[in-house]
Amino acid sequence: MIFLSVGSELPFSRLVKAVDEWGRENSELDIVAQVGKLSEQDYVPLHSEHHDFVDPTKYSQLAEASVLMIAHAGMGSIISAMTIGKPLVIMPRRAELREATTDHQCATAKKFEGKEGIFVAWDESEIGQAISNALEYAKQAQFKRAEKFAPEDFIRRIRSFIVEA
Amino acid sequence: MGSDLHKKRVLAVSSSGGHWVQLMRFRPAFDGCDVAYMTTEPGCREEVLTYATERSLPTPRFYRTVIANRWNKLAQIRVVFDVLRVIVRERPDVVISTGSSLGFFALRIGKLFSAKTLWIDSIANAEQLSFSGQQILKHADVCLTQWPEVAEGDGQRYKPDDRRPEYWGAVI
Repeated sequence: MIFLSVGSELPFSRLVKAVDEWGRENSELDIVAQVGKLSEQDYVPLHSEHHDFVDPTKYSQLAEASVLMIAHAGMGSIISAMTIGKPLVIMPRRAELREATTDHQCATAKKFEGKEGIFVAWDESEIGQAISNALEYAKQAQFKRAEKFAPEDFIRRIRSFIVEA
Repeated sequence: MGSDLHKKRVLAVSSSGGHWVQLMRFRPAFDGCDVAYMTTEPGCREEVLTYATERSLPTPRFYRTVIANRWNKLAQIRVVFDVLRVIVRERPDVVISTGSSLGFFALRIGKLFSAKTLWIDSIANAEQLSFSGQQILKHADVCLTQWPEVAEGDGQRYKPDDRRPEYWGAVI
């Protein structure tokens, strides 16, 4: 199963449509999609099970059960994939297309591109290739889960801030 | 865990999604404190309760408010009232947030009630501070970015007298 998620704030039709159409051509893997609250102009998936929102528990269950995660380039998705140990395809939201308020997801995608198990599709035309690369990688790679918590030194400094308050 | 933390009252605030995921990654820093959380998604409650049980920590208090983006003024007013109510009840020593506008309001109001405030800008903001981060920069006791290059600036981003965010590391 492939788990697609776009976060809870805004729909992301460009990504949902690209993945749904990929799914039509490549039906051996089911797709479960979290698509946000769709309005009239948004794309409704035809080939994927889809939910407006999933709560954090359901999100973890779907992520754990998947072979591959696909998401907008949001940090929640990136950190979740890294800690659960799943390959991840990300596509950044673009401000000029009114998919986000700023282009920060492009900055995020640039920073995380090339990290272990993370594949960037810069736009919808690159989705198919990114998914193929990620699935190929999933077959070969042994996934090392990222630590569940931040590095100790970071936690220690925040703790010191609290102690001194 | 050190007894020095027992009396510290911590209010940890963030919107749900990525900001919350980041907040959860440094929550061991609050172990032993008197902790309350505030966010926008009721499903987050279970996560903090489970953690407290696993570590034999006191049950943290949990508050929820509505999602308010920067254009929804009505929702923002509701958030301000909810934050005010929580801060009056909690009287935190420390208010910590990873974002977004909810965290901004929590730090501003926390400050009015003499709390020490820590802003940790989302790791998503790899090239400049978030909108809320830029707004809180001059108000927070400490404002962190998770990217060293954002702390250093590029010589143009910050004027010589501007306050700059600090870099202490990152959540991942």
